[in-house]
Amino acid sequence: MKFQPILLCKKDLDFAPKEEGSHLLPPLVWRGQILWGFQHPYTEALVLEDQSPLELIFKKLYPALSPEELSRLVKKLKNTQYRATIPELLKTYEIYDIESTMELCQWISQLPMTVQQWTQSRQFTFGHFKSIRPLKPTTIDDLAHWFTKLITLRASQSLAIKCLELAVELKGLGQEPSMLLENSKNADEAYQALSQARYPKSYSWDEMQNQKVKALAWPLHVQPRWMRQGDTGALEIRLKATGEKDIEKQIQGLSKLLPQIKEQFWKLHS
Amino acid sequence: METPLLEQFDRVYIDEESLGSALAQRVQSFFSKDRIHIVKEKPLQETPTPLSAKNFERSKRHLWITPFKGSFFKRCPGAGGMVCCNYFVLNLGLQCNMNCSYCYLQSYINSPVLTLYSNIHEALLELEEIALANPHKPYRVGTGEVTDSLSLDELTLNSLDLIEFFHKYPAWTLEFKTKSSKVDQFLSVPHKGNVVVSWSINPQYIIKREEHGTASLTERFAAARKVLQKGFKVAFHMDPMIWFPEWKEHYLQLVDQIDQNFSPEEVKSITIGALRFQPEQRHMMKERFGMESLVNRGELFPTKEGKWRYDQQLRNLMFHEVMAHFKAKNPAWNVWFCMENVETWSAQMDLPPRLNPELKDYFEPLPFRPTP
Repeated sequence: MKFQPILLCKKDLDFAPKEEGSHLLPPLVWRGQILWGFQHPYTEALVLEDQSPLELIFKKLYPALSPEELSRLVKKLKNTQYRATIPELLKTYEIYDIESTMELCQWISQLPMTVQQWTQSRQFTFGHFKSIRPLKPTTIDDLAHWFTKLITLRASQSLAIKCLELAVELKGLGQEPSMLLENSKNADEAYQALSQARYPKSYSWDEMQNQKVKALAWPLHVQPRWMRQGDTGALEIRLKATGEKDIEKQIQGLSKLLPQIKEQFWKLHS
Repeated sequence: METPLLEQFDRVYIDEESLGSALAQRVQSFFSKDRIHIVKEKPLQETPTPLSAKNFERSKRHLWITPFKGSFFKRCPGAGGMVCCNYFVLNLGLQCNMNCSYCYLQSYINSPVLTLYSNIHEALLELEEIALANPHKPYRVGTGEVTDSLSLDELTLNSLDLIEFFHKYPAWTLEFKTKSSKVDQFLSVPHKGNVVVSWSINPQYIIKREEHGTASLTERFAAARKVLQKGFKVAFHMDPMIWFPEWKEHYLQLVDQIDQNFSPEEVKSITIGALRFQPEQRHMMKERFGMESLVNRGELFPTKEGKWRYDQQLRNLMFHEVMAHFKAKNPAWNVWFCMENVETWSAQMDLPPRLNPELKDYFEPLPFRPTP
């Protein structure tokens, strides 16, 4: 076993991996570059005499890497003589959509470390980041801001992904989603605000239907509401009956309303 | 406007196995030698993975001539929950040289090249097997599912072989589906009146913004007039209807234009459908066409069958306006729906399609394989 003083080792590839194994082990150095144990408190590194290509060595040292870690690693590699190994590295981690993944890596690696840690903890995949692809490179600050705000609003992974897609679309439509996020008290509210801004026509239609629901004189104990299920707006009517007469009365009441319901909710208007 | 054929492809790859084929020979006579590469294996093939937006763009500019080794003839896949119309498809290629923002191929194709199959004779043998077993059943066979039927036909000349084949089976119908105006190559081929050339149409405003590299509406109408003069049938697909603030004005004007240029007797059918797409397609559409595209700006929602569509009520309104305008112009216009659900049909039509005398034949189930 050969050792090399840390002071003589380069740390060009320190991509801040989340797991670096036991600190009781010395760092590993390969052709003068530390590849593992970047933060381990040693004065000497163990020399790896592996003749495999760099990407295979990484795979041995880090059997799995998150999109955030891979993005940081790709960024580091770009500035070294190993730049050409990036496509092979991605393939080693079973990523074949090289060109677009490299573009995503660029986005992800520019996000603040706190955001990257959060997305990593929420197990974001490259697929989850797909919706940011239409953004212009100059909007990285916006993206960082949206993420930061969503973290503050305690968004779940799935809600954050939905909000992000809406924010990207709104930005593309020339609107400013940041204010909507700023003014929200929680992630659900943020999602509602973003959706409303992105789907204004449908929202105002649903709102109009809601107003019509409220304006009708419904029988007692009947709870109506206008709801959206995907591409369909629907009138939901719940009723609670306490006996034969009660249910008869409620259904009669609804029957009387039927012409108005038909006229107001499903007649086609331009 | 359609791009001239010579400007469409940066590179043309010919599979060694296709070298003797008529298609390969035409390709070799058409394109300069420096653009043609004879290859043993499919070019640009990496591990199968969904194409990135850039690779999808590139796939339209790389032509690959090869024999197809699978089954050419398929039932139109339709979609779960949709009312289907017994359409069969004969795939003679894969990928389209045109570039519509809403094209479903964006979620379908993972091939890095535009493929044209060089063995149409085998496709016809396959078709013959089914035709011999069911010569009198009203099969409708289209060639425009995964590629435009005619946009590259001046190169493939597939239309000539197909029309000749359908000449033997007059009960069967051949349908070319296109956004091209390239029809001259087959106008003189004898036929039995069972060839329908159908055009996807949209207001010129939409064609200009969303249907890149396609023939203009005027060019499509002019081509339709040419085929009518030679006794071929014509159909129109007003599909996908795309919502935008002035949609009504433009789509009703389109109805007017059809009515001014054609009579109901000249147009076999007009199908209408509204924009829909697979959810995974939306990222590529946004990346390729941006939020300026009316397709990307639209308010679409996930539906029960998985695709994204406009609100059902809005679709009903769009269909209602168009249908009512057609009927007001002339009640004889034969208008129906494509890729729509039961709710749409029942909102717009008095009878379900299989009870409707005008449409019954389209919806009567047919055997897919030859009956033993």
